[in-house]
Amino acid sequence: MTMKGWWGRILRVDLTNNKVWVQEYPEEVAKKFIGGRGLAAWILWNEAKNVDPLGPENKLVFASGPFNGLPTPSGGKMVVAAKSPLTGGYGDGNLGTMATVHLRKAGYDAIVVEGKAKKPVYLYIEDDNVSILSAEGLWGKGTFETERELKKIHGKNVGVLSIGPAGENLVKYAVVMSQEGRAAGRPGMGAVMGSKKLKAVVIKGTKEIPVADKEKLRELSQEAYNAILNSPGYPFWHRQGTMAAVEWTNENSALPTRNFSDGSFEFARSIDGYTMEGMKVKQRGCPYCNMPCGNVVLDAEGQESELDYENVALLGSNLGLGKLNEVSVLNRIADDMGMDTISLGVSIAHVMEAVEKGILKDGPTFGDFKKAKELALDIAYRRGELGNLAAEGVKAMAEKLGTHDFAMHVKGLEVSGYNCFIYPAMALAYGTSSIGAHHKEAWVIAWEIGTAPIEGEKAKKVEYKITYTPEKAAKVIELQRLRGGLFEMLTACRLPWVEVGLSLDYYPKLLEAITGVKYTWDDLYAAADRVYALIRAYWVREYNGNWDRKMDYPPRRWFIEGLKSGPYKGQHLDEKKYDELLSEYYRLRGWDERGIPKKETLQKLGLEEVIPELEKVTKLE
Amino acid sequence: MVRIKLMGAFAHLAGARELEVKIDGKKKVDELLRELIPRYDEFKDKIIMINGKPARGDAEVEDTDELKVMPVLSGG
Repeated sequence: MTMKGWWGRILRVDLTNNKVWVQEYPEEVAKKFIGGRGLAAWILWNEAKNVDPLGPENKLVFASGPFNGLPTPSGGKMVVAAKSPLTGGYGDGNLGTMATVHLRKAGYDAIVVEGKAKKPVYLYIEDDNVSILSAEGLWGKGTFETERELKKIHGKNVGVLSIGPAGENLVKYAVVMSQEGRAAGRPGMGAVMGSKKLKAVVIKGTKEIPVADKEKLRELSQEAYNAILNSPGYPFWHRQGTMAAVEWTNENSALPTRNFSDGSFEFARSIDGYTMEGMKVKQRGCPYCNMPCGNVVLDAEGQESELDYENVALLGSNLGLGKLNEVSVLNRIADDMGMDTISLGVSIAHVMEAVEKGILKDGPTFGDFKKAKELALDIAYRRGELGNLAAEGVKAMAEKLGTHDFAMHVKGLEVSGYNCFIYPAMALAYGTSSIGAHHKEAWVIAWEIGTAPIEGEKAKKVEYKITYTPEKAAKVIELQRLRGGLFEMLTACRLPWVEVGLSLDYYPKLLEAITGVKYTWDDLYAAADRVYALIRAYWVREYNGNWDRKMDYPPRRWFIEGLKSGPYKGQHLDEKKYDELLSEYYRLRGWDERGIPKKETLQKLGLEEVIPELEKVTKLE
Repeated sequence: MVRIKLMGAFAHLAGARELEVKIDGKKKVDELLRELIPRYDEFKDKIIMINGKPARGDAEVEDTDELKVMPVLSGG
């Protein structure tokens, strides 16, 4: 192997046949798809065709990128991907974990798991030695205890990925967890792992990762780490991390409140970053990160719970819960059981609204912590009718109950922490995200508020107006290229850039120092566009060509209701204007009016091999 | 008095979450905040509101106005 920065090696595991082997992949693929999400999308496109997401034929991919295992700013991430049991399309998520460091040091860029074990197992990887071991003693345990037990056996110097009871019980939004608070794979990657009877992956790597220019890498990283520490926003970031967002989303009518029926919460102050500061007992971070954001508090039951904004918005204000120590209990349960906090919050909120409207007879109502907690556990263990129903996610619930008007999801994935009654660009970001309604790819809301049109001589006399200008579509794409493309492929955390303003110029330079390959910004954007087109092609193929632009619509609630309170009371999105904005998005992407990449776009992006396969299910323009 | 509500890192840097400042006549928001918040100009993305409505840094405030300013952080 002559490549630098990439090993060009994927560890393959077949649990049905107890087989393990190493697949080498071509340099051309490494250069085109870089790693992480890019590599995962390439693998799933080629291998997970028309599969049952919870069947043995689905492929579960743990993909690292060139940044991982090396001293790069916040470069301790890993992507976990599979065909999603929640959405039926492409699913992935990233987490910060020592497992990515050890995976790369063990000599692999990714692991692909297929098949299904007869009894619960876990994988133990120590460089070239890979064992499939019994996990019967671990099955049923929470993710915290599972990781502790595995570290007792294999020592502390390992990376561990595991699932909890939610993954074992195939909760559709079960995630893969690491280090008691890091989660990946909102669209049910934990359920895919559970369906394979794979409880955990433990990795220990001791090799040296081949790097093109070690000295340059060291120099650039040192400079970037210093720039992060010297940023004016750093001291406050260190205090509150993403929890600071509660205050400003609440101020801007964007804080999800009572199943997204409103954008500000009367008890926001008691769940915000300042309240969290008073409860904080420690701070956790990901490998190679010098701006750790995992704020650990003691919850109402005296247990540690690691909070961030999304957890608190969706399990707090969105459930009408205004006590942070109670919200922290729900968050800790979600992490320990291995459930996505966002989807769990939105699913419970959906139940609460259905109960309040008399559609469901029994169950929690907004503000009822005790019953919310019971339901969270019922979901994880799939206990009872309600637990089982809510474990399927909001889309399935809406189909069963006829509650589409308040079903907060896109393509089956529940909406994360931004309420968009007055934010069309953010709604477009949710509509067109690669996995469903997630903010990680185009968090455009700040730009949207900051650049709101100000007319007239005296700016202060002018109202914020909801606008649908074409620049909004362009901005969503620009952010998707960076956040959903570049960072997800590297695989690095975007927060140094987003939160403390680290210059983007570091990233291509670091990538070149690691791999020896010079990427221009045009190259990086093309790689991102390639991944977006491939993932969209994946969705269309898996939906057997039954695809139209409505798939890229945000939840109906944002069109048909208005905000209930605040300065923008009564305002909401306009469906026709959103549709026009969506057309602009497609035009800029080179996709047709259904939202399917055109032939010439696929050719331009070097995805010729995708064309014949897509043509089997639909006619391409 | 101009009442100023500072959020996030601005509150940290200014050492206060709320301030009241006496100004004579009118003053541009950026000029006012530069005096109160160390390293103010190093923040690229910020939201400014005057009397509850969005504004830019070059908008002018006068003595009875209420100003809110926040650097924007994402939720993860």
